[in-house]
Amino acid sequence: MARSFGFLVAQVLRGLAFACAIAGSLGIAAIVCIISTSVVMRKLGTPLHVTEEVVGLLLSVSLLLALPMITLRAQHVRVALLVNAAGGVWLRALTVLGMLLSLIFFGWLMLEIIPWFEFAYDRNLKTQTSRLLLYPWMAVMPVTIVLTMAILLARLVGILPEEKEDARPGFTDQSETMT
Amino acid sequence: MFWTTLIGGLVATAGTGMALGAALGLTGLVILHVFSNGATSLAVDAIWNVFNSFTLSAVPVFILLGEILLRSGVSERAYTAFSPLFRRVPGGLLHTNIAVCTLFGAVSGSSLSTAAAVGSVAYPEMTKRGYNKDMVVGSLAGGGTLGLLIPPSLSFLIYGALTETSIGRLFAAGIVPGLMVGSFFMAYLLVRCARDPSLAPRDESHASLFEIIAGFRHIWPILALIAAVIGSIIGGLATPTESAGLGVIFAILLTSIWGDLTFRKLLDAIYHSALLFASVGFLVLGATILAKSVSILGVPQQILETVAESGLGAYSVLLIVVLIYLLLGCFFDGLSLMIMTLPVVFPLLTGLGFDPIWIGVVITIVIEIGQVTPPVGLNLSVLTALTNNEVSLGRVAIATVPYWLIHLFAIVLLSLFPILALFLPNLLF
Repeated sequence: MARSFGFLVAQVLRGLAFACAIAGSLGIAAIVCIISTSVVMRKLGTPLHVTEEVVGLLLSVSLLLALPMITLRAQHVRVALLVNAAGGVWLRALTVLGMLLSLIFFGWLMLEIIPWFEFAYDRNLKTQTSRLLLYPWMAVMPVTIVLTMAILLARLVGILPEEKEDARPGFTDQSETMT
Repeated sequence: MFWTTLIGGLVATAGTGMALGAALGLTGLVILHVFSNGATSLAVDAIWNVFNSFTLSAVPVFILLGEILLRSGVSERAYTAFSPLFRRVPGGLLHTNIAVCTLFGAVSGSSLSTAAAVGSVAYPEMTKRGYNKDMVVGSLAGGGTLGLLIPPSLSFLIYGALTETSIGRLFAAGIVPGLMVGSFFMAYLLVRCARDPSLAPRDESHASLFEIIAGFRHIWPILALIAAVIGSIIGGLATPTESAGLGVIFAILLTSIWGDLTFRKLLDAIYHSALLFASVGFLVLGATILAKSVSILGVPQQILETVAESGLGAYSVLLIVVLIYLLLGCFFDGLSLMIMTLPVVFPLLTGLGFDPIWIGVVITIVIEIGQVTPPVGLNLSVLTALTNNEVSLGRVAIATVPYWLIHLFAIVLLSLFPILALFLPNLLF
């Protein structure tokens, strides 16, 4: 029962991380489309005034949306000198310590994000030129950080094993959503 | 106490093998909490402001450009084209990396984008051909640094904007030093691989001049792509970010018609570029928090002000400034470091009689060194991510040391002969 619950949690986390990564990819594609359209429109004499702001927002959310997937696949850049030299109990201790410190970092960040998000939400803050509501974009930060923390926590308690580093599945690869 | 927290915090957290971005960010949060009266709320604003950047959006777009080229079979054709040219030269395709990085520097404007785009094409190809992995990543990390020196350059754009220096003159000033550094890199590879041929498989077959020229007909679309990206900037058609976007569209069209790009491969390229950008972007996120925590305490300014007050000669101060940049380059990404220190460094050095254009070139080279200095060497990080951790950050850093030294040698030459940087802008403007 507990095993099947763990399996279900792992599947849900994988699915959510994959969905976020797809959304992040769409963000990158949208950046290209908006920039290119902007250049054409400017040449046609009807420049898009919203380009810089929308591209900036898309850049932020694309990064944040892909964060859970790179955490799931342990694709972060890291200093592995000590980890490579350690073995057995020491390696396990370092890994657990690393995950705990990562959780502390994301948790601390989350504590700072809540009032930051509430401030924008309560005042309906908007971008300067295009008058776009900021909070829907800003909401991506707490959502993806909570998901990243959940992935780290699941890995810490052993529900979610670290995926192989050499595996590099792509958009068309199904391995993200399978065990 | 501050330095103990900074260095001790970084070593203790990064040493666990946790994500380096998280290690930098956590150290930054601790510094903000302890030394800035708990001003940790500044971290979130700093992150949001840094990534809400139109200029920075050139990075994932250029990564995407590289991924598209990688998946469309262009890399095969590029190496087929360059193979005859460097066939009998010790180092072979390692020279290609430098040559392509130099060319890509003329399209990308960013050191990170250059290393990412050329690396994503070159690394799988060269490891498949049996090149020494450390030599490959070293040449890519070193070659990638040419991206900031050869125009268009984000560094020159930001430097020009902050110091009200002519960006056109800065762009012109970067050309000769950029080509000079690229030539030094190739000379180093030649000597190293001549002494140890096992580093790069050597093809002894002869290539005729016709064969070399014929090889380049395979890569005309890449040359057309470079012409389009540079042309759109020089022709005033687009900013570097816009030309990056146009470059992607142009690359999609070209590789769909001429290469092997399919819709599936395009989706794959977009997906992987998003993950690669996130991998590097998370490091920038952590570095941003750390940079904020240190800059709010005025640490870089305090160091430089102490230097200014010491009464040293112009070149002694320059040497100290370079050393400080090298030290701080271990902890900050290049552009953050430049942005943080320019308000003190620029008036200090111009006050001592150095030319503003020349200072821009030297600072760009020094921050390029920071791009290949661990633990926050972004070129190193992007290559570690590109190799999917096959080559660790430490190994990439060690492999990049010779390129690091060549950059220092270039600074010495530029100090002895400032005309190397100033000749072209004086001629053109």
